[in-house]
Amino acid sequence: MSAVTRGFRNPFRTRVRTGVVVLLLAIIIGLFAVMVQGAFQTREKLESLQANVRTVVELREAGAFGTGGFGGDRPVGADDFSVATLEQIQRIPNAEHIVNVEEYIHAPQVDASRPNAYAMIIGLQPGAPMRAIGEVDYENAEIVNGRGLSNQDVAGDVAVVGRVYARERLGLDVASGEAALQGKTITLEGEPLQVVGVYATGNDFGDNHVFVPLETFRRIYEPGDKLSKIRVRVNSIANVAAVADDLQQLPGVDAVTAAEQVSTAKTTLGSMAAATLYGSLLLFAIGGVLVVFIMVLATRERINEIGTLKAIGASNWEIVKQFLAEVLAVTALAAVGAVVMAAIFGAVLRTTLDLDLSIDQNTLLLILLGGFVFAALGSLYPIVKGIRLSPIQAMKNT
Amino acid sequence: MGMIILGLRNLLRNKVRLVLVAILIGIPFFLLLAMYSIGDAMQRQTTIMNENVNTVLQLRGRGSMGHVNMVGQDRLLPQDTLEKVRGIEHVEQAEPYLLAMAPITPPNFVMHVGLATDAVKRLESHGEAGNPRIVAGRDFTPEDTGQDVAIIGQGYAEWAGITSDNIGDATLTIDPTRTHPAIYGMDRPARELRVIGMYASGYTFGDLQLFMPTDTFRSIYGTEQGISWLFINVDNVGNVPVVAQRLQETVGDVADILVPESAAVFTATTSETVTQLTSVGGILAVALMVIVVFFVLLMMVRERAREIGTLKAIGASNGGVTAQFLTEAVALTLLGGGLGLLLFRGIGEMVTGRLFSLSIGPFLPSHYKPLFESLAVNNSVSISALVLVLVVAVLAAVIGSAYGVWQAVKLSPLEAMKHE
Repeated sequence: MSAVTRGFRNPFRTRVRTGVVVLLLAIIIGLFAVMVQGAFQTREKLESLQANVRTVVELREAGAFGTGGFGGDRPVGADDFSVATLEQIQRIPNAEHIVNVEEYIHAPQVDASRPNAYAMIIGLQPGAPMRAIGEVDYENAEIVNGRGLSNQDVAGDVAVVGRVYARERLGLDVASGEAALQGKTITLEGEPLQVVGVYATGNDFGDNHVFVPLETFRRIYEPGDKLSKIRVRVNSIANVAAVADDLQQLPGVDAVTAAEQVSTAKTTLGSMAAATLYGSLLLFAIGGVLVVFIMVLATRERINEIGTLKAIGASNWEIVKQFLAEVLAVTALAAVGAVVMAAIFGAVLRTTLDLDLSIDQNTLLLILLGGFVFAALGSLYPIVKGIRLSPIQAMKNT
Repeated sequence: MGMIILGLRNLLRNKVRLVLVAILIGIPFFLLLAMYSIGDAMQRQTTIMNENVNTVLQLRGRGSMGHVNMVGQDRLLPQDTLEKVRGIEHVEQAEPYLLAMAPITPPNFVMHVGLATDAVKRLESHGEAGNPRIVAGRDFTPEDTGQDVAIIGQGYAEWAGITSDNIGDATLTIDPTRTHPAIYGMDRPARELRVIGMYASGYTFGDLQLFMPTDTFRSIYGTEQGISWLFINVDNVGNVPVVAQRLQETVGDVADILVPESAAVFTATTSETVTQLTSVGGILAVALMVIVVFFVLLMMVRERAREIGTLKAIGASNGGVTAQFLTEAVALTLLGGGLGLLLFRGIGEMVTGRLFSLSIGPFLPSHYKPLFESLAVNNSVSISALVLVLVVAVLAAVIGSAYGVWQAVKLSPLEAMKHE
């Protein structure tokens, strides 16, 4: 019988001892698999927070009021803030951290006879978020009737109006559904546009705008290359301050962020990400050390067996092969057990805490491979010790 | 009693085994303490974020920008809004502001802001950017309340010919009669304010504001009642939706309520999941410790069945054997626990400090590096938690050991001695 075959058969020789070792390894590897999966998921959640919390930088003409042009003013950045700014944004040193850039242009529509005198016509790329002025930057208006602007509307004669604008200036009853929009038009500078949707922010000031496709806006108002606002989304809160600093250097630009909140989000989320990484590394290291010691404990009692093998003429290499084959067999059995254990722990967490910690393929491979490497490492100590002794000494050793 | 002493002495008989088992018990104990500590650090960071990010709401007069002299935009919030808002649960702070526009040349305008002397100096139409840096002179003190004093942005100061050298002596005349296409004149006398400080915000419009005490603003513009903007700090991001709902019910008829609602909900739910995942790590670490202790003791006792047989052969009672092995198990667990605690106390701090940044830092993106200093993984563990964990570990050890002993004492001495 070859040493490898003997190694594979040996675990089944002493079933109870093997059973205890395999069960222990299975539970430990299974538990660590769930913990590592948890650490990965925590990291994913933190990354989504880092990518979505406070990552919008608002740009506007330097010196312009936040709402972006109520008429009659000419801020210092009026000439420079234009379509050319969009190209300059792509060339800033930290441009790699920019996810997307949205351009907006505003024109006030003042009617002193209305309770809400100041309305704003806003040109934007169809598909870009409808951000009402005076509202929180990153909260988008919701369509409450009809539809929003889509890619088919580029340069189209269409508009989406706010709830208050629809009621006060178009006499539209939003509550009567899409039928109310049939044939409804709005006239801007003498050009009729079809009203395809109504949006709401919940506030009267924010609901007093009209969104039209950018090209349509340019055709009607002829503003040339001028822009009113640009919003830059950054890939992570960790990069917002650096990108905002770069953007502030562009000619004619005010780059606005809520600096204190950005700083707090950056520090707290960054710290949590670092703590999670620390936890993951700790888990892997400790899991490894545990497996190593369990294997040392399980195989050190067998040094005398190594002496017997040497006494009947086995070479050192054959002994190593036999024990490694044994480790492989035990780890393979433990792996099957670990998958079952991980599934059980996952199911318990799903039922009790509503947390889905199903082990994905990568985590499983990582844990199993780690399990085998550490188990082999743990077996090495007794093997090396046994090999270095004479057969008689090894057989006396317990 | 003799068997108990024998059990304690037995620990030292096989030193390699003692060290191995103590380490095996100590490691999960260390992991448990470390997970507890990481969870604690995560909890602290989550709390800071949840209390400070996306927790600010703004109220303005319904449909209005709330500037006291802006054409068609001068509807203010009724004065009693402040008390109503402060009465809402989870509202931590409510700060009222008054705003007026003033024309400057070339055609543009600046903002005059009235606020409490200890309030956050908010910039912007939506006021989220706040507390600019004072670059010359001084900040407001409580003694400035009602005084004719102001703090000016450096862009506005440049326009007015005020430099950092003459801050404290310089004056600025506020003339409410001046107009602009978006500003109407108010029939009020001009007032001279002494400029006591200059601030910098980092961008042009942010530097075009003038802050003055609320009462001073009211007397200049004749605005005895009303509030332009009311900024509200909610105690926790998770409570933002409920506060928004209460505001809608309480003052929704007179106010536009600007809420970072979807961002707040996203922040709250995601951070809750993170906290939950972290606590699961702690729970699993406890489970791991119990399982390891149980199995290690079980393995250890099983391998010593021959010894149990010998003890029985020389006349030891089952109770005596059990007492000896249980004493050994308890002592080993306490030793392992102590080792874990020592490891945690000794290495834990090193790992979370300098060694941590040196070992992991090089493999991380550069922007994480400064954060290592702020990541204070707390290595102090409460005594009650420690005692609880030790009791659980000792219980697991006793059960594991007792199970092994029970199986061995069932056998006759001869069978036990033959047992491999």
